[in-house]
Amino acid sequence: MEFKKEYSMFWGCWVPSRQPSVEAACRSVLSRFGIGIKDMEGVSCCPDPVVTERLQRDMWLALAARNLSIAEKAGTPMATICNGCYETFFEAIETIKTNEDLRRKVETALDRIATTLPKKTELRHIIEILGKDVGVEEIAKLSSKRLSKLNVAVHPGCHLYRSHSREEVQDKPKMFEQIVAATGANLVDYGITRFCCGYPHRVVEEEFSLRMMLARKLQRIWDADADCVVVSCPACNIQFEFGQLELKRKYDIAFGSGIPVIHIVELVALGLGIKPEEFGLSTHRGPTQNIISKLE
Amino acid sequence: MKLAQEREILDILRKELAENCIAESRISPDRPVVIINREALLQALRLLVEKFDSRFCTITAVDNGVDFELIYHMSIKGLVINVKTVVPKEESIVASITRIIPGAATAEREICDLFKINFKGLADSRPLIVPNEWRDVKAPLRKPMSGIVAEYQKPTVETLMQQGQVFTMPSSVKAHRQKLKLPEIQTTMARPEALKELHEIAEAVKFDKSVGYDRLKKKLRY
Repeated sequence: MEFKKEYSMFWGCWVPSRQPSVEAACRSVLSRFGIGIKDMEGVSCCPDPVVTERLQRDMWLALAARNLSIAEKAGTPMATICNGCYETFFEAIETIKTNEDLRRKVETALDRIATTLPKKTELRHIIEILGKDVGVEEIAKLSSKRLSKLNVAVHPGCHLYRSHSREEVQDKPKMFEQIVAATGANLVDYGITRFCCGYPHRVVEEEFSLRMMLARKLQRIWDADADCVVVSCPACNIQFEFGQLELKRKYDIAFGSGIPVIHIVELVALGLGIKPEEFGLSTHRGPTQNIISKLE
Repeated sequence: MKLAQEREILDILRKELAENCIAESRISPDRPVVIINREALLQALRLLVEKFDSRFCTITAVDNGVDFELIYHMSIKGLVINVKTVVPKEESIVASITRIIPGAATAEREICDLFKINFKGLADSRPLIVPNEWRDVKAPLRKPMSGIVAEYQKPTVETLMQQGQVFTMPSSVKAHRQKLKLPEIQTTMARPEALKELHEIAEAVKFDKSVGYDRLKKKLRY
């Protein structure tokens, strides 16, 4: 089959083992737009840019380099649907270019598995694929009007602001909003879009993460009358979904029957008219009925 | 003269200890450190004493959290060589060198008192500097078993080393994947040869060692 563009897809850890609906929606959406996906064979965790990178940087970089090499060998750019994986690979590519000492260490480690350093792997976040390769006009053209009653609060997530220069910091988050608008859904302004969801803090100080970060954000989203939150990161997704269950259980804080949370590829899938059951929207741990009831 | 002497000593240690000589480093330009396997400790010190007439100065013990480091300071005509070995904290046992150097008994008894490391073959193991009643109860310089991985980081590190990814796949998700006709995953979770590569990398950068991961038991040592 002839594709407009083809990517080595790095699914990460969260999506395949916790959020199959995101993977299913992504496959359907990209296929509709003529974007090919190659599943990467033998990849490991990216590894995560919080725990592993802080513990031992050369281990973190060597594993990231190994994953990047797999994409390079496949001869296609690497794509990710996770902000954390994006952060790791973005940082790894830059570190390999600029840090000679670490580069040498990683080169030696990769030698043991007969792998060479990745030299020219291109990296794309799903937001860039939808915004640039597909284009917001194309999304708007193919989207039906079925999301016109859906009010959406966007949460780009901290790592989506990662960029090569200060001028580009807002590019991907803006693209995110344009994609949401192209689906026909209504963007609501809740004022603290860039505020962290609290996921990274959760493992260290749960109460702070839930009450001071997540609950504050959810309160603003609730006050703005959003029907759902749309994210571009599976970790943020987990924080919003499980966090709401924990807020209710531990601190008696609830927002109606719960604010649904979906990934941007799921929203695009709904916009394109792909039925919720086709990509397993109901497999979310949080409620999704608010979304389904608003579909035209 | 000193340099030639040092070269000769190090050459012999390397040759005689072979793979038991793990690494070499230097504390200062004129202070070489030879890191050896615990099993080769007596052989190394016997070589230094019998071939080079070396004099035992003392032993330094360091508690690194998961392991102890024992550093034997040996003086040979003005040159000091450090022979270093690692003792896993779970075992806390090492051969006494008193068979070769009887004068080391005081240092070994002191270390036993303070760190609770047992010296196998030490004839007189009575407490030296702590009260009798502290024996087997209190070792003032021995830290609890701990490593660089904080409690909250442990699941991430263990799962990463066990399967190459940081989450296991619940059966409910497997069922959803099948229902959605998603392909089988191709990651290190399902590819033992790829997981082996990850372990090779971990070994090359000494990750398992620095975090204290036991590859056989498939978990952190603390």
